[in-house]
Amino acid sequence: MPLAVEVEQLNFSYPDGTKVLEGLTFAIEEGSSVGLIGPNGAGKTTLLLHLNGILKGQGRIRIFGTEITQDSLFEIRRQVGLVFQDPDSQLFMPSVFDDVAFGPLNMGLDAQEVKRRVRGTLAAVDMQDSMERASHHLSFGEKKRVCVATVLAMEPRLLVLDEPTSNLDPGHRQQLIQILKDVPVTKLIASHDLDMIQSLTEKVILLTHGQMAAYGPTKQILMDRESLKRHGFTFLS
Amino acid sequence: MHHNFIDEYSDRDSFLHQRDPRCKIIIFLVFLFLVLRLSPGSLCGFAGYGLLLSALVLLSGLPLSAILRRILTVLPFVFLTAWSMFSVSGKPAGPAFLSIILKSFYALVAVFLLVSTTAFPSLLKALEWLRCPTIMIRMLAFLYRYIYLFLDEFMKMRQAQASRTAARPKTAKALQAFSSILAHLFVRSYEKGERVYQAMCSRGYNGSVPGISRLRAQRSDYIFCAASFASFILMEALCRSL
Repeated sequence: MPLAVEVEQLNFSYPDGTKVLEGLTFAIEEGSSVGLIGPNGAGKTTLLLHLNGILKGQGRIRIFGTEITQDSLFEIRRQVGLVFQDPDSQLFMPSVFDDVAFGPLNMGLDAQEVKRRVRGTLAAVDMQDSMERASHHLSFGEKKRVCVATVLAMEPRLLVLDEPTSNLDPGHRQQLIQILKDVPVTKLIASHDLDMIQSLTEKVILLTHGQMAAYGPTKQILMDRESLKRHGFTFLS
Repeated sequence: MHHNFIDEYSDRDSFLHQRDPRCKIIIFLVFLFLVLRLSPGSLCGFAGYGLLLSALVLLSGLPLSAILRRILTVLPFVFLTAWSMFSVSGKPAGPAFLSIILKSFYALVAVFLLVSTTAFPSLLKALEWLRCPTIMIRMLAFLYRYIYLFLDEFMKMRQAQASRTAARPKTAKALQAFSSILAHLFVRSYEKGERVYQAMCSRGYNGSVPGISRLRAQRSDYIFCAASFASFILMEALCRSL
């Protein structure tokens, strides 16, 4: 099976010297869905930001065989769709249409193709009637769905999601999980929502203090409660 | 989101709301130009353009109370400016003073009508079409997108502060708390700016923000434009002949 993501000895520290990622090495197969779990501050978001070159640490990252370098940056960003945790960071244009069209237009697609993609992806997330609405008039659940659409419109081969279900009510959460289930691309999903991780992913990476504590089948990792507790997870029962 | 003061009435469906924003911007700009060049004694001009503006108010379907509320918040500053102009020059006020007040009043109503009958994103598209500098449009677009968010943030911090204030604070303490909120707001807006930039980069941003214009002028827009210009020409001709 070809690999979608290859990370080798990735290290990253913030300018103040705080180490966030230490010697991370893993690979994700093309077409698979992988969960990324770990306590707050484990380095999940930092790792995700490396996957399309927003952050640059030491080490090597290859996306579908292409190493992330300054020259390959735009090609990588066409292939990696990153959905941020905060929808107000992801939705920065005045209207929903403009936001969803932003990525495809940057890819140099013609207006007709952009319109087709915007309509198609908004329909896929059930937001086709909100094209002309301003982002700040949307509910939180609607914003989250539009965030996914902004990335799907670029037709990425790898979908990277940071806490997609955080702050969503149960109804909208379920709706978003179904939308993500229907997207047939490689997925890497960082979340504290273990139920969602269980229903969407086949493998899980457990990250603590910037290091990989475990990487294996979702069921196996999530069933090992003792290991999860040791790495900062708390269970009520 | 609790705020919506920029284009609060833009989702209505009146005749003026349905018109193409480009057409409205051009008409309102011409209207402003014609009103601003009226001489202080031009009763015909003030009455005529007042009537035209009233017609536009009727076509907008906006509540008069909303228009007056907005105008009244700005009008005191207009009065103050006009008064200071005449008090400094030492010239008698009279018709010239009244003319400044009326011109400002007409301009304020016109701008309010334009902004309230057009969704802000459409207004920006129209400005783009009219070759307005891109940097200005981008700044307005980000302002429109994030001003409500920061106001909301500000409101939440004020509420958090109030909920932990058991007694009436002294003025110095209150000012200290207020300045602390402003400082936090600045830091948060800076951080938000960084995250927005990251989100833009991850979707292929390379320095320019391309867009697709979806503005479509209909026959009624052309008729509205033609009728407005005909009214302006008629008004000018009538006032000159009197």
